[in-house]
Parts: sequence; structure tokens; C-alpha cells
Amino acid sequence: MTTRITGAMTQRTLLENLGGNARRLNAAFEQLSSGKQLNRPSDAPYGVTRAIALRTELAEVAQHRRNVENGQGWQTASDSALTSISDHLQRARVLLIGAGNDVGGLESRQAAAEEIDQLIEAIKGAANATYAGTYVFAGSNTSTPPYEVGGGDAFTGDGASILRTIGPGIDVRINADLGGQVLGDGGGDGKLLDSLRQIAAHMRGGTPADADALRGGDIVALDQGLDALGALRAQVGAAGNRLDNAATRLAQVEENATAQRSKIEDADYAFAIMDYSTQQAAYSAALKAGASIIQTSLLDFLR
Amino acid sequence: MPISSFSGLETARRGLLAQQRALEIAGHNIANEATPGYSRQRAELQAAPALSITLGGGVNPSAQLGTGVNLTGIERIRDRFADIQYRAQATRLGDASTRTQLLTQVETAFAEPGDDGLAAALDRMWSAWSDLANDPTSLPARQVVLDTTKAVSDVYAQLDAQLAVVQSQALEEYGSLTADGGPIQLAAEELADLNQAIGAAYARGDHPNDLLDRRDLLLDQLSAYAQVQVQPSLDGAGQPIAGKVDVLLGSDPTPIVAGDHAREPWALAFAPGGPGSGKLGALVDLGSAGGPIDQYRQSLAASAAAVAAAINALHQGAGGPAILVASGAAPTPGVAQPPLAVDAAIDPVQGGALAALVPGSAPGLNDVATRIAALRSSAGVEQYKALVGKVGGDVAAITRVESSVTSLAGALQDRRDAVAGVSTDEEMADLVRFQRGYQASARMLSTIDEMLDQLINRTGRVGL
Repeated sequence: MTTRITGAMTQRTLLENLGGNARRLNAAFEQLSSGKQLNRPSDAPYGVTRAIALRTELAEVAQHRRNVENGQGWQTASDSALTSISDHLQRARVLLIGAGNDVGGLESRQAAAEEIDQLIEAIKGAANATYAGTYVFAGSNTSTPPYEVGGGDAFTGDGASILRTIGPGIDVRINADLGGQVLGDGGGDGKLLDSLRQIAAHMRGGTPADADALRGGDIVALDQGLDALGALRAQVGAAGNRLDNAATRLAQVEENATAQRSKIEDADYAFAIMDYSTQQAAYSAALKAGASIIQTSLLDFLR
Repeated sequence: MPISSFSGLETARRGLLAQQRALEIAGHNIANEATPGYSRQRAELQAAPALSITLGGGVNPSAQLGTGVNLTGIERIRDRFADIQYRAQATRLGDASTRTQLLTQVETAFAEPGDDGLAAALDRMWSAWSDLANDPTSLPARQVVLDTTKAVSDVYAQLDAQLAVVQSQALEEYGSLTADGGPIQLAAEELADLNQAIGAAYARGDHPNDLLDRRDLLLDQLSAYAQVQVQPSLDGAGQPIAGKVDVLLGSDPTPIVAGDHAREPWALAFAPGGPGSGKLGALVDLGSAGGPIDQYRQSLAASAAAVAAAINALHQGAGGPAILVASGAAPTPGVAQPPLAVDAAIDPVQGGALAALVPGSAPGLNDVATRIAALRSSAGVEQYKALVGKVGGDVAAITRVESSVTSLAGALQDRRDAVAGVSTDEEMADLVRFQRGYQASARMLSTIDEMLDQLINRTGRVGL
């Protein structure tokens, strides 16, 4: 069938093609100027849900990194407090051994007992360490100092765990039960504070039984306390290592997720620029062809 | 039979007249080249009745002497089948372009992927819970949880409101299109007037080409609104009336134009499912309950309810009040209905207290906040992501449909134009042809004139 081609058909075809070219040119321009190949859900429905999921993952990773940083700060505060407690105990052990050998007699034992009392207060002060206003060794009772410096030895905290989420479903305990496991409540519970109070009393006592205790049971008790403290420091150190590992891993995850999101969302500039130039050339060609086709008609050749 | 000496003059006169009419028709075509809906017209030329003349010899005693040409009609060149196909496509195009336009607005309302969408607001809320878990006694951290939770309920409410606005726009447009005095009613009135004029012309034996073009154009325009069905009008005896048609629109069972009369009083009575096709069908579908936008709103409300239920279960399990209250009611088309609200117990502005936010199962613990923060990928959030994927998929699909229907409609329009459209080149060629014909007929006239001059003025003057 021979198709008659009328002026209206040529014009409509030209307009449709110009419109199509202009739309594609605009789409290429939008990609270039926004830097995104996904500007609305219909650009790639599945890609957009992936992009949203990756954005959620990135927000989650950023939050986990904040949690890790918070945990690391907490852990540093705990660690330095435990180190100073450990130093104080080493000093107490030196005093205890000196007193057990009875180098300076009662007078020097009295002085040593005074220093032990001071060390107890210093240890309680270290146990009251805070991080950002919270008492790190108080268990869940984070707003009250766990020990009363210059008062009784009762522990006001509890053994509850303070957790930080460092990954989906991965929680790390960042606090250590210093009061419950090492220092104790005083009053004959055999824990460190009680042992130190006993040592001070034995130093002041001066009976042969006291001297025996200073040489025997007290050293054993103090060493047990030191061991317990060592175990606690190991626990805190292990948590610190987990946090450090998590920080490295989260940085990698973030890098991966960012790269994937960029792959899905961001425009490929080389491709976008090529596409843009191609569309521009097509648009100019269509304009030029349209202008020359519409100009000519039989009218031009009739006298 | 002897014939008049002047019969040649008549032949030339007929030729002149016919060529002149044909030229005028070409002129009419050229003038209407750009008129929408115009079909080209063609002069129907036919040889005039011949005269029988007696021959002087030969085998046959007589022969037929031609007497020139007669214009027997002006034909409107049009392909009725292409009209029907074009209108079916125009109905689909009306449907697809309306859906594309409104669903694109829906898509824009979601603002995904980006920092302004609901997904980002939800992420900020989970992060705020996580920050509260890091610092369970902090009042500022509770304030941030409250603020981000309010932001989530606000974004849900805004999204729902924007979807409701699109619905009410669809319903308003439907109302203004179908109202008395609206474009459909005006078209129906004009169709009734045209029926009357065309019927009268047919009764006279005319073919009112330009009126028929106008009527077909109106039917083309109507078919974008809903499917148009055309059937001959019947008289009292059940016989079709020449030139008059009844017009049915969409699922309306009775004609909106019957013979000389448009529906009076004006009211469109579509079937319960809506007009069923075209722009009107799409508007009703998008604007009413059960339509795609209504389904989006239901999914949005379901996502909101799931998010609220997941948070509340954990928070109330630890002895706290509800955090978010889901409205739970099914959305009403065109009416915004916030799917979520922040519970008064945790909002100081509403008489609650920030202290009512419980981050842990015991004071100082953070297990509850930690578990709420872990809801980041819970069912409600996944439902929202699925909804965004569905909206994107729907818009992409309808956009593809629109572009394919547009090119199909263009192809069918081309097919109609191939038959009915005016080609300037063709008319120019016709102009030349009929001009030459006219010149030749004029030469014929002057030749006869010279011949008669010879006979009348110069004959019988021998010797003068």
C-alpha cells in the first residue's frame, strides 16, 4: 500500500521525535547535573529499594561506630581507674611486707596503717571513676558514686551489665563488676576493701597473732585480691580489643556500603557525558532535518 | 438526430464550470490544511450524458457524441475503520496519561531515595534510641528520641496527606469534567446540534462534509474521556435516520446524545465500577477506595502500625507507656488521616514527661533502648521499602504504557492522515491540472467562437 504523506504527518512525526529527543536530552542532563542516576523510585524500582536499604545500613553502621567510640571512651576510663587501683595495691603490698618483717617497730607500723587507710580512700576514689558523668563501676546505678569516699565501705552499685551494640545483634559488655568481684562491701566479706581494713587493723594491733596474720593470711588475701583485679583487667582489656576490632570492621563495612550505594545511586559521569553528547547530537540533527524538510514543497518549484 | 451548432459552446461551458469548481475545492483543501479533524474533499467528475447522432454511413447508423463533463458530487475522503481504531487508542491514551500525571505526583511525594524521605526519618529515630542506650540516664537523649519520633509521625502524616491531595485532585477533576457546563456536556450539546444540521442536509440530499468532520472531531475528543460508542439514531418505526447518530459514553448504558437532543437534565450515570475507561475511568480509579492510591495509603498505614506495635511492645513490656499510637482506621479517599501520633505520656507538650521513656528493664540499664534501636530492619520498615518499590514499579510501568500508547495513537493518526489529510504538494499538482483544464476549455470556447464567427459573419458573402 502506498501511503500518502501529508504535511500534518511530517509535522507530527517531527514534533514527536523532537519531543522524544528533548526528553532523553533532559534525562541525560538531569543525571549529569544531579550526579545521580536514581532521582525517583520509577527510575529503577528495585534499585531504589536497594538504595534505601543501603542508606539504612549506612545509618546503622554510623550509629554502631558511635556506640563503639562511646564504649572505647568508657573502656579507657575503666582501664585507667583499674591501673591506678592496681598501683595502689602494689604499694599496699610493699607496706604489708615491710610491716610483716617489722622493720621499724610499732611506730612505723602505725604510719603504714595510716598510709593503708589513705590507699583505701584512693582506691574508692578510683572506683568512683566517671565517663561523661556516669559512674563506670556502678552497674546500673550509674548516677550514684559506688563508694562513699571517707565513709563506710558499702558498695551502692550492682552487678548489672552495661552493653553497647556494635553490630546487628552483637552486644559487648563494657563495664566491669569491680565492686562485686574485687573490692566488695567491707565488713568481713573477704574482698579487697575488707582485706585492706584487716591489714590496717593488724598493723595497729601489735599482738603476735596480728604479726602472724601480717606475715601469712593478709598476704594471701591481698594476693587473691590482686589476682581478682588482674582477671577483671583482662576482661576489660578483652572488651577493649573487641571494640577496636569492631571499629576496624565497621570502617570496612561502611566503605563497602558507601561504594555499593554510590554504584546504585550515583551517575557514571563518563557514561552520562557520552550519553548527553549523543542525545545532543541527535537533537540537533532532528532540528536540522525538520527545518529543511518542512521548508521545501512543490510550491518552491512552481512558477 | 441533428444537433445544434452551439452544442460545442455548452461542452466548453461545462468544462469551464467543472474545472472552476475543482479549483475551488482544491482551494478549500489548501485553506483547511491545518484545520483539526478536516478530511480532504475531492471533486467527483463524470462525463455528461452523450447525444445520439446519426451517422452518414458505415456499419453503425448512429453514434454517441460526448457533451463534456459534469460535477456529480464532492466526496469526503475518510476511513471509518481507522476512526474506530484511533478512538479506542485515544481512550487508552487518556487513561495512561492521566495515571502517569497523578502517579508521578505520588512518587514525588515519597522523596526517595534521599535525606528527606521517611526511610531517613526512621533511621534518625533508631539512631536516637541507640544514643539513649549509650546514655540511659540522659534527659537530652530522651528529648532527641521524642523529637525524632515526632518527625517520623510527621513524615507519615505528610505522606498520607499528599496522597490524599492527589486523590482529591483526581475527584475534583472528574467532577469538573462531568459537571453541567463542563467539556463533556458542551460536546454533547454541539453533537446534538450537528446531528440536527446533518440530518436536515441528508434529508435534502446533501453531503455536509464539513459538519461531518466537526462531528468526528468531537467524537475523537470525547473518546479521550471514556470509550465512545456510536450507533445510528432510529426513528419511531425502528428505522435508522440518515445522518444522525446516538453517542454512548463509557459504562453509561443510555446515550448521552440521542438524535437531536443531548441528555437533559445533564447527569452521567456510569455503572457502579466507574466509567471503566479513558481519563474519567482513571480519575475515578485513582480517587476512590480500592484504587491504587488508596492501596498505597493502606500499605503506608500498615507500615506505621507495624512500626508502632514493634516499639510499643518492647517499651510497654518494660513497664513504660506506649510511644506511638497508630490510628488504625481505614483511609478515607481524599481526606488526610495521620497514620501515627506520639503518645501523650512521653510528650511534655501534651502533659506527659520525658522521664516516662524507659531505656532499660531496670533503672540505669539500656536493654530496652538497645532492642528498640535494633528494630531498624523490622517488618514495618520493610513494608515501607516494599511500598516505595511498588510505587516506583507502578510509575515505571504506566510511563512505559503511556509512551507505547502515544506512539500507537500517533501511528493510527498517521494512518488516518494518509487517507484523509491534505497534502499541499498534491493540491498544488491539482491546481496546475485544473488550471490547465480551465485554460484548455477556454481555448475550446474561443475556437468554437471563431468557428461560429466564420459561419455567421463570413459565410454567404461571395462577391461582396
